[in-house]
Amino acid sequence: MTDSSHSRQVHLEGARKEALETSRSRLVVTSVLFAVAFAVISGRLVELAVFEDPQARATATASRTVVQSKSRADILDRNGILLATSVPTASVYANPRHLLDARDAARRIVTVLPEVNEERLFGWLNSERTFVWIRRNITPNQQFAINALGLPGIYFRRTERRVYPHGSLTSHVVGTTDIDAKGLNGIERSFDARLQDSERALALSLDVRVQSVVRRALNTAIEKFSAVGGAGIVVDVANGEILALVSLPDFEPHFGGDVTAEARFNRVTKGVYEMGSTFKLFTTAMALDSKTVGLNGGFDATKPLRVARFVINDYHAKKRWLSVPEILVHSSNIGAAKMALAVGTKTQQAYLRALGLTRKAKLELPEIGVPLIPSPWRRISTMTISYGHGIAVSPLQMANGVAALVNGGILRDATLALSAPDAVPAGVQVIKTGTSIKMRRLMRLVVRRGTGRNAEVEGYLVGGKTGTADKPTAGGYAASRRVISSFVGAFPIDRPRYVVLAMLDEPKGTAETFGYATGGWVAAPVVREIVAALGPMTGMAPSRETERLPRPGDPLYFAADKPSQTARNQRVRGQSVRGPARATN
Amino acid sequence: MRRTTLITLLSVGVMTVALFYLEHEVSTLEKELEVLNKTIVGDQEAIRVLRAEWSHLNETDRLRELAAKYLALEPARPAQITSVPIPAAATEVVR
Repeated sequence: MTDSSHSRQVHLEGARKEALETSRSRLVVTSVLFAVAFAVISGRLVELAVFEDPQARATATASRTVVQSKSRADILDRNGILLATSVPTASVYANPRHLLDARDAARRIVTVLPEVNEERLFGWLNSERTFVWIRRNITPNQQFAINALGLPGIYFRRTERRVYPHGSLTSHVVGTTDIDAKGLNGIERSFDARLQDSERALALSLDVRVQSVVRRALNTAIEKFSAVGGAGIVVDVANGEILALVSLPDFEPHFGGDVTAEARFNRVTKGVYEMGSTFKLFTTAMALDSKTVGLNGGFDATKPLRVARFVINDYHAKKRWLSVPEILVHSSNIGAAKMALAVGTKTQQAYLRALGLTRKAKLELPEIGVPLIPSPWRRISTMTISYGHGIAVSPLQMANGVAALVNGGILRDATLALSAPDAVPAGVQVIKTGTSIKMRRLMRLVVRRGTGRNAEVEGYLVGGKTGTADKPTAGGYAASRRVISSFVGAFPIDRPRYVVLAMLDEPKGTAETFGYATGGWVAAPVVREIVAALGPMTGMAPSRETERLPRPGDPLYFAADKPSQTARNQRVRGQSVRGPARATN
Repeated sequence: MRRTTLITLLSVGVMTVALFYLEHEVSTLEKELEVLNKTIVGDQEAIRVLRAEWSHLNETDRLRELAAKYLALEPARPAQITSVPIPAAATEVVR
């Protein structure tokens, strides 16, 4: 057969042979092309199967990864307690064109969702639209019940809802979002982009336990003294971390728009107040630091100070020469004003600026108040500012400034973000370390012997300063005393770790406080309660050794006052003050 | 020529069947994967809800009430906190 075909092939001649040759060569070319193509594909197959290719691996696994709808990141406290999270919910909507009987559908839906108005719902369902929301964020039970109604044209859509498990406890810090999960205020607003972009939880410096203690103590005091509001803050003096930030009244974050502006207002960061005598701490610190006066020095506080039409008087008038420690302990306005005059306006401004009291505070919240400073800064301003009038700062600025006074003189911006353990942010040395140590001793003296006795805690050495400031009203100060009473303290004062500030807005005295609503009576006990709980909570060992008291010869020793003197002696009659220079506690 | 054709046809047949089974297997696995992924997403969402609920149940005021009701304990007082120096003898034993 082969032979015959061969012989036949041989006999082919001319045009026929040529045609066959052409087709054969074409076939060869085609098969070579195919062979090459197959070889390339096989080669690629071997390459993919045998050799590692990271890109191919990524492509292969990509199709396998779980597709999860991206949700807004959680917010945690410093111990990982959930403060804000997003939970999936169902939202029910209708396509009115698919509905069979709008009247019947509306009647049956309100049996499951009683909060929906039937007439309004009927109006929506009876429209010509193709999409109407019936209700956003319904519960799984409601979803089941609506599904069970078996109504055509009623559908569900998976939505997300922001949930704040601790409710109003952290409402001013954490803030809220709108219905489309966009930050409206608080951390939700200031970290909006971060919370949307990354699913990694955001840890705050806040501690819900401390927050709870502060809120409870403040709430009790507000009720007891019928105050209109309160503010409390706990700052770590070593790194500026805020452990608690409470502004009362607060609000339930889930109620969204139904919150009064009053409740939404953050008194700690947004509110600026004339803080009163707590400012004497700054006055004393700048006087000591600038070597204007030593601890042994003092000023004559015999007579009220008259400047232009103002009279500066003392609330606890001693009517004699007072040493620097005495001025602070008895909270003498006359003494403080004279001290400020000795320091001078320029130096006072420089120190207040360095302590961050004349500019907007830096904090990771959108609600930050701008301090009110006098312009022009007259001689009388220098005098009234010495005891905290004529300048309004936020409690946050106050606490932060005091932290710098006691921590060795380094001012660090307060922060709500949790920093790495042992990481100490850089700060600015605003007063000398020596001055800071003197300030600690003086603050301790105020609690031990002065107006701050009610802040004394058994076990921990608390130092601090009281403040009672008259609230300004249009065109002057309120006729009936409406005050801001505060106490700012640090503990343990021999090695301060925390600064605690408590402030009450318009407290009214009770029989128990002999009618007094001063910082020493209403705010100091709040700080005492906070310190007594915060110390053991942080595992802080109490100071067991007996406190070394100033001995005769020490500038902090004054024989005239017996240690047994009770806080009742704060009562002073016959104030005769007027104008912005009104006396403070 | 005929033999090659036969072999080719046979291999085509074998490959078709093999490919069909492979395809079938892959689609079965993919369906399974889809179900698993859905379950995972469902579980993740359930975890979110449960975590929120757990945090809500740990509300400080609620815990305080519960502790007052069921525990014969109260918050630690400063006087109850102390630091105990470890005696030198004890550290030696540990070593």
